[in-house]
Amino acid sequence: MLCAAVGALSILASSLAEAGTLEGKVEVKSRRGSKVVKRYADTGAPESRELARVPTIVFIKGRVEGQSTGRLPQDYTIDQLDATFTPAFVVIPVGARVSFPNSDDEYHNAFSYSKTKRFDLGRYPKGESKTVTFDRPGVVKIYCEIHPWMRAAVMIVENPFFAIADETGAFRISDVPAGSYTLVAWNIDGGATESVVEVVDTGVAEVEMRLAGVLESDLEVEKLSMLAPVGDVARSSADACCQATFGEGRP
Amino acid sequence: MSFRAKIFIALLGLVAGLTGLLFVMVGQETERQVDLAVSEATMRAQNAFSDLEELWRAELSRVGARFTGSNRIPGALEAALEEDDSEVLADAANYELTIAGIADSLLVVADAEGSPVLALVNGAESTWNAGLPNVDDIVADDDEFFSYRIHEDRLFVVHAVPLALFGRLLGSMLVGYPVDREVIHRLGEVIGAEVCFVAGGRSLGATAGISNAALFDDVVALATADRLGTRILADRGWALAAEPLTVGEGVAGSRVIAVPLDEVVAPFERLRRRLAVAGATALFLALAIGVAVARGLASPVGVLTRATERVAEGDLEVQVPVRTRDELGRLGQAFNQMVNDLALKEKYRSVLDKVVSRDIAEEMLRGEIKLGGETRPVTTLFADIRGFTALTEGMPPERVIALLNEVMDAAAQAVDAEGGVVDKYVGDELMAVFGAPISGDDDARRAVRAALRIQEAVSDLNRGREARGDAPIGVGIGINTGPAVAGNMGSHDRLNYTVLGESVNLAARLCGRARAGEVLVSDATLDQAGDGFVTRALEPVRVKGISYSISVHEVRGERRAQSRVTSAALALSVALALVAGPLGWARPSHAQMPTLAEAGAYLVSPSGDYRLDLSGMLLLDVYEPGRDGAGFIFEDDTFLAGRLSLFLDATLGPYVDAAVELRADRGETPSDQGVTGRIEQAFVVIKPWKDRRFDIQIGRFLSPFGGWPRRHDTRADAFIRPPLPYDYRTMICPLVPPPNVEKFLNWKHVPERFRPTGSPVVWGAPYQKGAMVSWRTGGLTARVAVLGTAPSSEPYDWGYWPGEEFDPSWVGDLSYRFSHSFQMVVSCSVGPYLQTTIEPRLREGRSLDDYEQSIWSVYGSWTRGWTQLKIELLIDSWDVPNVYEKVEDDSAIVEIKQKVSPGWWLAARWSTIRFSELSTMYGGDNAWDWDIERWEIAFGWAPSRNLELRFESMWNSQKGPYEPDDDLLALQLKWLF
Repeated sequence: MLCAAVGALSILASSLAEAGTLEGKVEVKSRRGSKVVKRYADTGAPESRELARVPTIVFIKGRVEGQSTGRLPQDYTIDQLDATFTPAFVVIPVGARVSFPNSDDEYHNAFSYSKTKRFDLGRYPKGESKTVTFDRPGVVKIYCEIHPWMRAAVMIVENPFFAIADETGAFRISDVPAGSYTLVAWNIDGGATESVVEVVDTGVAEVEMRLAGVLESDLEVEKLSMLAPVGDVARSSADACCQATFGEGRP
Repeated sequence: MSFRAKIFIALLGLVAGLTGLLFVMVGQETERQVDLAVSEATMRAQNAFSDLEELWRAELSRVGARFTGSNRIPGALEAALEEDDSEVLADAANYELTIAGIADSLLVVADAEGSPVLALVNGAESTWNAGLPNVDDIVADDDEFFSYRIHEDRLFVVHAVPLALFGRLLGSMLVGYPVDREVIHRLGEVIGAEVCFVAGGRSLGATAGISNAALFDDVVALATADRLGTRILADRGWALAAEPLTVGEGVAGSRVIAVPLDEVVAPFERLRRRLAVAGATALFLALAIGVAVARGLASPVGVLTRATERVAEGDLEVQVPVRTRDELGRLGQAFNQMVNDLALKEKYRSVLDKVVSRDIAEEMLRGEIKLGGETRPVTTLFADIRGFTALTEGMPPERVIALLNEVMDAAAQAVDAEGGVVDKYVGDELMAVFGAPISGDDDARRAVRAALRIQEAVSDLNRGREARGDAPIGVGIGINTGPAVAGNMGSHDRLNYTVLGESVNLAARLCGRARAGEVLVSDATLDQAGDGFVTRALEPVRVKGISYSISVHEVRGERRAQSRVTSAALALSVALALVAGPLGWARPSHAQMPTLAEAGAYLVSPSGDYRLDLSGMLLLDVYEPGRDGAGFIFEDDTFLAGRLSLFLDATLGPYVDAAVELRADRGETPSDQGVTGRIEQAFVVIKPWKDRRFDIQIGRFLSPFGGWPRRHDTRADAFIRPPLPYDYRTMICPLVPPPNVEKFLNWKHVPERFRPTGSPVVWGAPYQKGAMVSWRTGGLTARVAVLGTAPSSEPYDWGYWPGEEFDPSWVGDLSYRFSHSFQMVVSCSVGPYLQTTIEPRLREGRSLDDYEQSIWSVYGSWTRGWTQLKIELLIDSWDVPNVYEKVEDDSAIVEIKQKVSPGWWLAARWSTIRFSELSTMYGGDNAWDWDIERWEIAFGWAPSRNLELRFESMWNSQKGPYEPDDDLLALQLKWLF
């Protein structure tokens, strides 16, 4: 599914001795558009919902000697509002807790089959909230059993060096101690791609990464909607390379 | 073989043949019905099964939708694929299956390439080796992906659906219900048949009926046969239908439905049994009746045979008992009479040397005869061969004598048959006496009948002579009645009993005046002979030796009393139509013998632009004419006629049609001659417009003239014979020109047998060569045709093209339908009518084209409910050679047809021809032919759409000096096929 990323690496000299900066651009062929849900095969108008936008994250894999995540908060909230996980993506340190309050009039359910953290919060009404502690690093995809368009992802990191790519896919991670790292770019639809970077003191390491599109072919909305609720794919999205943006990165 | 055996075998053969035929027919029909019923039952079962499959499919796709409606299963698959751990997937799947209440189902989940990720049976993990189709194929197949799979030796009905997560096709899922014994059992109950699933040569499950019966082997045999399909088992117990079953790659499977046929076939078997019983009964009855009839017929024959043998031995005292009045009884009577006569003959032998007649001898024997003579009323007949001298000139003497003896022998037999005495032969003349020596009340009558018999016998002789190429013989006969001296005259040892007197002389004189073939009688004879004869008064004549002039009559024949058959048939027909029809007896059946078209006798091109249709008509006619025939019929004995027509209709593209009629019959005019065949019609129609507003027709076809021909072959005509103007020969002769108007006016007096050369007013349904243009608009149709001959021309002239021999005939008609019930047609024809052979006899400077027939017809038809009224008027005018006035005749036809119930109808028609008067040179007007009227009553029954039985009785009445005996009884069977 994942195409090998092609990275180009060039290292520019920097005057800073202790720490360098990672700069780069990650290109994501992401699908956009609304998700068409048709509950019954033959009757009823399909419901159309906007897909949650999950941004692309770029982070250094594994622990970084002497660098803790201590400055990151331990408690996060992913609200279930208007049948959408809000926010759809959080980056948290290992051991942090995420609570999932239900702010809608209807029942919601959040579950994850990701190995990093498997849980099923069951169905609960408005006003209730359930909390999950994420004690292992990795990515957890969260879905709602009731609303098939709802999705969210939690990235549990072991070091503070990560960035959320902006609209253009550009990112910047500063104050990275010199050394050799595996840089990972991840997107909920595009999966992960890795690149080894060398950070030298006071320099800026530039990285270009690419996350291949998840889908290489168009799907016909109607046919799929007859089968089961699946995502609508804007017909031209394969060409239009939209980028997931979440604005400035760090929480 | 004895006579008895022949009758017996004939009767038995007939019944056996009919029964056998019935058996074969019913048997075939039963086969057909059984096949039909079986295929219906099989199809019902198959359809029921298909409906069940449809339900399964719907159920499975609902389950599929349920599984894919939530992100659980796709999410679990995603986790399983990304993290290579199917545990969570198994949990999720079992959870969903349990909730859906189908935990015993088969569930297989595969990745996008179709490699299995998880397989569950009864909630337990299982190994699925086969894989699933690529998910793209499942998507492409829409949700038609429905089939059967064998897993762990169990049959499942399965349905595959794609699994997608946020538009990403992750893989596919296959859900299957087990098709186990219980399911198959219920399935069988629902579709009312036994069901068996077979794969790889063995059963995967079957209903109890198949498992228990020997049926199983047949089912497996069919299921594993190279070609699946349906099969009816030899004992008719079951119909099997096999259909292929997709159970997986490389495994041939099939599903067999066995439909029990007992209830389907039973009624037919019952019918067959009853028929067998009925047939056996009929045969037995035929046997019994055959024995009785054969015995009844054969025993009198045996008695007669034995009696004859005794007579041959010389015993003339033999008499046979006469118990019945039938033919055998009459034979016995005749036999007894013959033996009596033979005995008498022995007695007379001694006296026959002296006299010529048995009667005289008998009278002599009784001692009643007066030798001296007596005056008594006698009827004397003289018959004389006309032109005998000229006839026998140059003939060898032995042939002259042979000829004379032949004629005289025939004449003497005729006289004898009527109880007369042949008095003497004088050369080529015969003299016969009726009333001496023994008088009777009917001497004159018997004499006239004897004369007619002589003429008939001579006609018969002439037929033989003509066949041999000899000249015909003509005999003239004179008869008179009056007092004459009768007695034995001559010397005492050689006496001759004879009659003498003036009345005898007059008979001889009348004989002298009679032309060949004529029988002339005096007033006196006719008075005594009574009404029984058709006669014609001639001018009174003066005879040598007789001072006064005497009235003379020509006897043309014996008047036949209206046949009892005719009256009985007419009464029966009317009774049938009026009583049986409304009672609903023998209503027309919708069943019918198939027509050629229905039997598939047609060819059509794939585009439908070209087609060839075949149809036919069979008419079988029985005619019983009066003595003089009627109209075109000149026979005087009952005869069979009819016709067979085959019609070929061709459509040659959108613009051209063609038609041919092949006909075989006993001549255009029915007669007892042999059957001949010919092409009656052959024409091409060019139709430039689709709506046929304008057509051109070329070839030989039915002339558009007149109201009757256009309907003569259809139901619209209720009669067998045409109306009078289409069926009567006038005295206009197209072969011989009359020398002047007086001779022409005299032609109507000629004997009836010359009529067949006359021209009809219109030939009944003439088919002529030419071209016709038709134009139609609204209810109006106009046609103009140019034809080779006039509508009165004879069939052998119909082969001429317009202008080929004489000027063309122009025919036109204009028909207009005023309303649904009322239609009028006016038609007209002008053209030469004489035949080509007359040309040399025409006056100098005259040609065939100078003599035209112009005829107009106005025809109207009106229908209301079951009543139809048709009227036609014909105004006809002829140019006759050497007659300077127009020779005219007018005809009228009024016809009414009344349906009395479906399939039954009665019709009556009156038609007449009135002939114009022409002025003669000597002043005074004289009609050129005898006005004639015809009455017809017809009755018909149509037992089905294409079969019709008709009866017609016709009386003609002519206003002439004599009334011809030309009634006609006709019966017709018409079959359209």
